[in-house]
Amino acid sequence: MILTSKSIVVRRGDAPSLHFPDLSISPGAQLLLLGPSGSGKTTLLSVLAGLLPPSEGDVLLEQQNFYAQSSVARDSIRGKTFGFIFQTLHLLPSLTLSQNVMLAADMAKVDVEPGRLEDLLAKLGLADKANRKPAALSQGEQQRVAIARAVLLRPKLLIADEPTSALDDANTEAVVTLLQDQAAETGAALMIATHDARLLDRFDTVVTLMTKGGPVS
Amino acid sequence: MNAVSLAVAAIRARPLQSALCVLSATLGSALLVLIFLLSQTIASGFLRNAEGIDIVAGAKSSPLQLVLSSVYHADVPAGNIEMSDYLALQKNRHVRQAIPLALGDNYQGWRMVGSTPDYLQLYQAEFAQGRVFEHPFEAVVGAATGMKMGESFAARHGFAADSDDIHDAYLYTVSGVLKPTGTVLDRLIVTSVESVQTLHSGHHHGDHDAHEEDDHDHEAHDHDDHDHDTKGHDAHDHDAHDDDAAEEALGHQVTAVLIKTRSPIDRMNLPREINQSSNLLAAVPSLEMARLTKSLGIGKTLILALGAGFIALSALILLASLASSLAARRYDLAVLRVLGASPGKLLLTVLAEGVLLSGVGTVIGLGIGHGVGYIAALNIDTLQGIVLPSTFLQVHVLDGVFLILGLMIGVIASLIPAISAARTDIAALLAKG
Repeated sequence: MILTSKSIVVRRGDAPSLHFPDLSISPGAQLLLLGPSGSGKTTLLSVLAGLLPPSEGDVLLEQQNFYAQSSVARDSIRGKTFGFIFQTLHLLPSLTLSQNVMLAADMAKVDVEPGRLEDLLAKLGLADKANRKPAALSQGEQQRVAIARAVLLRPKLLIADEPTSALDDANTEAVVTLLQDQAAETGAALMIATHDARLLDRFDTVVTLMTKGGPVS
Repeated sequence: MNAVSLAVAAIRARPLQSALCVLSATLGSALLVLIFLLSQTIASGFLRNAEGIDIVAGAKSSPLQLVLSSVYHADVPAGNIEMSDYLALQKNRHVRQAIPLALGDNYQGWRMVGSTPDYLQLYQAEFAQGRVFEHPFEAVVGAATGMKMGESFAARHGFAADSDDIHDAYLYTVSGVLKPTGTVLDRLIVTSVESVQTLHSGHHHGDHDAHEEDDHDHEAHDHDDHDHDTKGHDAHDHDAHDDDAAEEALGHQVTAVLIKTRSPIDRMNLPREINQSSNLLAAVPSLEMARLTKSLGIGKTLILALGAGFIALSALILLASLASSLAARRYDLAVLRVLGASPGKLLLTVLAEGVLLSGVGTVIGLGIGHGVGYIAALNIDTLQGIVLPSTFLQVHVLDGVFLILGLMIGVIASLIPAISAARTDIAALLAKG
């Protein structure tokens, strides 16, 4: 297993406790984390990514207790092991497309193999736009840049948080296909957290979160 | 991509705010460095010009006027003294050297000084061309006058270049051109006392109306303690005949005497002796300039306060700019954290942003401060001969101090936003979307 979570509970301030289902994600698995707004999807992703220590429970990353590591070590492991895609893409406006993609390697302090960036941009149809700034790209192109940034280092787990909520059916289909293809190509497990029920039939494994830490199916 | 290149990217993403931060740091540092450079170079210029002169003796007037007119050639002398007074001073047992000055004429605005070759040695002057004056109506010209060897000219009475009272009975000839000394000598024409006295002996005015417009109009200066009963010269008497008489009196008088004493004790006692036992006024240049500097110090303090205000303002603008910028890109920073950046890297990125903005502003300000000082030294008449323009182009220890100050302000202003960025609750931020 790449990632296992057990008995995760998160308590933050006066908010009700969030109880999450146990997860076991194997290499190459594709998982949909479905739940309405406020159900704690992003909170669970933060816990799994080492950004938010759970109040109770454990996260095992490749059989090691993730939260036994120091904060700095978790940052480093996260950069090398996880790939993230957000609903709002958050590309840095003053950087070029290729610089934005390379941020993943720069922040994780990892050298990228020669030709990796060029190959990736070519596969995503961005090769001729490598030196453009995000403002000069279409929304679809920006989404592909965000995906390129997430898969650059061939992460073991690709996590997408609400990647399709603002997209129409055609674009939703295109983005999910792209994510699944990229995950398959890099051998990464894929977990998409969403409230978008349109994605249900694209995944064999679905974990549903109920509102406010309610029961889980 | 390291913290600095991330900071540069953030700066480039908001050019207007960044320019404002840089501008405020530029203004503050330029103002501060300009004031410090001016005060330093003026103070050293005062010292350099008065070096070797312990006491100045002249007609009764204000001590400051006497020093300004005789040492710095920046004011109008109040009157003249008899040659016998000069000779008595020369023989005084406390006096090592007495250099006479006969003032009152100019050529194209360059003041003429009747003196002895000792006056040139006082400033360690060297000749670019020619030699010292040896014959009557030979003159040595300072480097700033632009006059040429062998040039002949007629002096004009007073200190105004457009004076109509031309002494054309005798023509001076340039016998030597001096190298620049960085002193008032650069803008003087020096000749022998005898030449000046000869020029004024038997001086006649053909045109009194013209003479009334002469720059030797003592109404022009406003020294409250000006002694109106100076020996041999009624400074405020505008009657042309009296002025004629005063001018003719220069035929057997000098304007002032620069004195070097034999010992420090003599330097302390001789002024009192002169002031009590003769009709002369003795002034100590270092004391008078210290008084002047002290009174100018009020203005300096105000401008320094203004400069410090600009620096404080730049820190506040930087703080506000960084804080608003961070508020706008909190999610971008969160993404960097998700990508593997440590809190320390975010802290360094924001600190680098503040330090870069204030550092660039300070460096530009230092350059502008030096440049403005240089241009001022070249173009403001009153600074010429007191400050050396080239000193404004040199790098001083002060620049290093100001640069460190600027960088520290960058650190201080960005510290709070940097800590805030580093401590951002990424999970809560991502949850908010």
